[in-house]
Amino acid sequence: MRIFIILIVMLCNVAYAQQNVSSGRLDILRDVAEVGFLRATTVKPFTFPKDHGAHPGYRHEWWYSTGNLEGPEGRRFGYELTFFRLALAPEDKKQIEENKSGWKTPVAFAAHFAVTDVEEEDFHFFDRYSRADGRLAGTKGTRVWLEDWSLEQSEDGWVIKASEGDIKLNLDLKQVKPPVLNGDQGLSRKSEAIGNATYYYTLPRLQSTGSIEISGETFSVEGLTWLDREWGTSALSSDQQGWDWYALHLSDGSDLMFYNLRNMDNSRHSYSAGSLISPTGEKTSLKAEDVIIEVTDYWESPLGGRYPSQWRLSIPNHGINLNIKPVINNQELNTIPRYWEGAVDVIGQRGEDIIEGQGYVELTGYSR
Amino acid sequence: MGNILKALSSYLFRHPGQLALAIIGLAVGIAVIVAVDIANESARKSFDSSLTAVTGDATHQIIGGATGLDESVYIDLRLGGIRTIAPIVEGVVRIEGETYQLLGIDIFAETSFRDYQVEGSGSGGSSGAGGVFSLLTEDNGVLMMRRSAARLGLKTGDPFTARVFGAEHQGIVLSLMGDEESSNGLDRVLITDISVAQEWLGLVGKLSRIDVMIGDEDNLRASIEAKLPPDVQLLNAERRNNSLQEMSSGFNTSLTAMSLFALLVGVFLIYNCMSFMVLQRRPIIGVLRALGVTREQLVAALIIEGLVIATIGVLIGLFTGKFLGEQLVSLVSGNLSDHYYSVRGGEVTLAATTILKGVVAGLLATLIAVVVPAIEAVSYPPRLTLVRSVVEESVHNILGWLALAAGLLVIVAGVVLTFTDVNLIAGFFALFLVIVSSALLAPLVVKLMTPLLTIIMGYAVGLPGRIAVRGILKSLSRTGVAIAALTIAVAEIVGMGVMIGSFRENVEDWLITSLHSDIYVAAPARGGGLSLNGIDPELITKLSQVNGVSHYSGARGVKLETENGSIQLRAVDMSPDGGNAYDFLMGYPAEIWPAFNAGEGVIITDPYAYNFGLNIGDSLTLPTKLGSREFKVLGIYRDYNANQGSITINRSAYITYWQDEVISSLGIYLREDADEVAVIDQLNAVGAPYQALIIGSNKQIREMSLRVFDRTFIITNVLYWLAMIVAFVGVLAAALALSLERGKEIAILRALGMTRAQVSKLIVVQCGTMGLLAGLFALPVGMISGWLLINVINRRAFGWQIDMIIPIDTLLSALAIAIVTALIAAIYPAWYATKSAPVSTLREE
Repeated sequence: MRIFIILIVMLCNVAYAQQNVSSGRLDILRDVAEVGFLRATTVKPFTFPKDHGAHPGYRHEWWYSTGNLEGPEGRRFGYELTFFRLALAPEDKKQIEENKSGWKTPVAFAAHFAVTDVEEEDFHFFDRYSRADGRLAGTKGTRVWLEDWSLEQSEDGWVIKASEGDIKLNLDLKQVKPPVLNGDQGLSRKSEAIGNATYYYTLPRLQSTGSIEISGETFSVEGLTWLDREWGTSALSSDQQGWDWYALHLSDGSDLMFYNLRNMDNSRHSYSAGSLISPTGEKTSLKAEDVIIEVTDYWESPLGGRYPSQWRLSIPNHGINLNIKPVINNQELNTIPRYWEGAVDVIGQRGEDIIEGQGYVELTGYSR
Repeated sequence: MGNILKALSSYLFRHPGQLALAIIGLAVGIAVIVAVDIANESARKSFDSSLTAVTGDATHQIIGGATGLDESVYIDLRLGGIRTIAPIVEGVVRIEGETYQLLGIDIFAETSFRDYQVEGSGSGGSSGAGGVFSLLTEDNGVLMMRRSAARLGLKTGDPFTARVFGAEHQGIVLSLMGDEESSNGLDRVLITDISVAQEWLGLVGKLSRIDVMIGDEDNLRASIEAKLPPDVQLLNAERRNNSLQEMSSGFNTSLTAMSLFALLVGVFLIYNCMSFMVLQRRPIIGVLRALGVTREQLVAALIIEGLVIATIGVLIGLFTGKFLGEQLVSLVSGNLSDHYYSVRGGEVTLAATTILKGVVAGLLATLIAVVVPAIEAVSYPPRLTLVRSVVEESVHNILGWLALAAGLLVIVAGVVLTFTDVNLIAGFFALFLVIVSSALLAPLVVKLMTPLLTIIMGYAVGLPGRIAVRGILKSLSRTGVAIAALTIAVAEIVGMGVMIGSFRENVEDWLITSLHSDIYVAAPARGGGLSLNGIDPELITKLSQVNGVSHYSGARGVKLETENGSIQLRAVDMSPDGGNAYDFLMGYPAEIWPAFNAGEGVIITDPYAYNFGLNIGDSLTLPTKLGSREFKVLGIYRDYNANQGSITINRSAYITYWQDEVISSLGIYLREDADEVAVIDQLNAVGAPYQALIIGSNKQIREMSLRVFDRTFIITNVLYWLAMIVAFVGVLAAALALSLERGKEIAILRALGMTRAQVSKLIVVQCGTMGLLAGLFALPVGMISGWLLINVINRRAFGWQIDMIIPIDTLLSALAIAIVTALIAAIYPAWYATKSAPVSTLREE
């Protein structure tokens, strides 16, 4: 469950501001006409590399990469680079007419880029928006870009490029596990309502090498990237106020993803779910009741709102007990809307074995 | 002091007509000053604000070459990581006959540049972009200013029809911006998505410009410049705006000239009315002095009284002026929208400076008008003060000094003109000095002319004629001022008439010379004045095969943008006799054409040469597709197109340097036996299936040009009449004064046997003679002003070289207007003078 919803809310908020001034975000989301869009209702076969590309017809889609990187002398970095494709209105299927402006499209792109510099305790974040006119931003085959930020499939993996101001990121990602189809063979239902679902797959463990440049200093880095791909038309149901998402690379070679959909009373929604992925790529689905999460610390945002900042996550069926802690507390993106997405360290046990790891956590619906 | 004031004012209350006249005179004077200032200021302000509304906070602009700016330039910059840029597609559309500026934006690139205040965006947090996102989802949606919408009777969701060069586009009002009163410059501006603007304006694939925000980092400028194609330039927005502004300030020149005249005439009127009130009461002043009131007390009392009256007059004047100004603005706005930019009409801002100007003019003129005669009145022994002739004597004594001052002013004007080259303000200053000096000379002129006029009038109307003329001279202290005011007003008519008449004649000649072909065919220029694709080459062939067409010459007109404003560049295929279309002011055609046809250089218009100080043999630099290139000036020709002038180049040379083979207009020559109307019909029929064309005959274009010319000067007609009203009130005041003051004299004349009719005649003749004097003196003054307007003001503002022509009918009608005005002003005093019985008038004394 990703921050796309807030982005849609933001765009719709302004587009529909005449009708909605004071109502909450989720109300607005429900008002957005979904007529004319495709919906994720049934299980569909995935084919690659075709499904790495865009899925026009659905209202939203995203490419979501996060990763932990290590530079010379063990210097730690985290990064996030995400692309959101948002159709503000159903796309016209008509052929492009002659003398039509190349700027014409109802599809917008948004992108967020963040770098966590653990040693300096710095968090750099940027956001961009553009129309998806296929020039400034868009998708072409398996390439997605917004101006000079891009994610594109290469021969044996992916290439990431992003830079803003004096922060630059260049990474080659190598795929070591096959794509994991989350939920029911890739159909990820978010509530009881039919069609309130997305198609959701993950490339959980991408070996990443490249460089980060900060203020003119370049660091060679390597580490692991998590890439999520998701598309659909509907989103949260009315009784959900936000979500916590965990994506962890564990030292035994397994990977863990879980999203905790929060009800209005902060309790867990029954459609919360996750995937436990073995070192060889086999997926075990996790249901809401399979995972126990206890918040052990909080962080007050200087901008307002209290975020959880330490967790104890256990999956009794698999003997997993993990302590999760952000590498630095302030990894909040003061974008519109505001949310927290940051690199975390993991330490714990799996059965009798000590297990370590790194990962990313996303927290939305906490900013006040 | 209270008693003194009471004593002084009791006279005024006994003569309320006089008091009213003084207040009306003051009010009219102020009103004219204020009205013209409002018109001027509004024109300037709407230009300023429409400029900032469309340029926003951009520090720089990226401007395309001859064939416009390809949108790929913008996309490449963005993809290259340059982010503080925003693409703009703009042009003019018409909705229900009103002109609107269509501003096509990319909202995602915008938020940092412009501040759009759209309804319902209040909760949008820091984004500030508001409902503008609906621009992306609604086809042909526009954001409109609330005030524009109110005027057009539109509300959110309403459809409307926008016209762009004959084509109609259906738009929808997405949202309203601003409030009814706000005047942040966006009125008459429609905001739409860049895609809509491209399609409506026929600029698909092109941008009008790219707005750039560069902070203090110079490396950003350098890195942008490194990425631009050779014919695309990064220009400083402020400098460019300034040059745009200069361009339009040229237009405001005639308005400024008008306001100068208005100010002078207004001040004279105020002076006349106020000083008259003091002079009128010399007997009372004398009595008060005799009763022991000190000089200081008297002067103070007169000043206080004058200022009280002035305040009332100024207040009335300000309100009347605002109303008048509104009328003027709507006249100006139609005019400016024709030419340069969208101006909102009907609404008026009474700027602080305008009020200040009115108040200062009113109070200062009053002060001088009161103080000078007051001091003078109290400076004599009380007994002498009672005697009227003392004043007149002193006036006659200073005539020489006035003439000397006038001479000095003319010398200063000459010096100013000699030592300033192109400065427009200096030009105006010189004009001002000349007019003031003519006003100073007016009394002397009256004195010199009266002997002659006495004889003439004596012959014409007998005794009343002689008495009347001598009366003018005898009361020079007030007739002189009235005549000076009338002289300036009439001189304005003459001066502007000479200027406009000469200008029109020159333009007409020039149109005949330069419109050489029989029929003109042009592809509509859209958006930024650029005809992208011109006329289809296949269509050109077909058009040339139309029955009756002998041959044609093709031309390409483009606009080159530079930091010094835009340059019109015309590339022409010279037809065998096409060369005759150019009236060379510098250079010999026999030398120019071979070099021109060989592409060895360019020919430039006279205004261009003047504005940039170019001469034959000089070089000028133009941004070409291949980068900056130098071109030699081969010849300078006459041209009256608006703006800063243009450059003409041989088309094959143009193709080499700009790699643009488009032909945007054709000059078609007909066979001798061809029927013009039939050929035009045929051309229209052939062109219709291909594209929209503008086809016009030589005559139609000439007439259209002159119509535009005439419309430009509509406002001057209005100002004529304003000036005349002021002058009229001035003469009326003077005539009334004379008849009032000489009530005794008239009574004696009546007692001596003069009939009522004869007395009326006397006053009418007197006024008529004043009108004649003013009219006659106004002719040379007006012609000198006209010369200055043509050779200094116009030349400096536009660079146009105009041959002065003296239109006899203008002179004659000016003279007639002067006399008729004076005669009309005489009606009331003439009636008033005969009303009273001689006996009672004499007894009163």
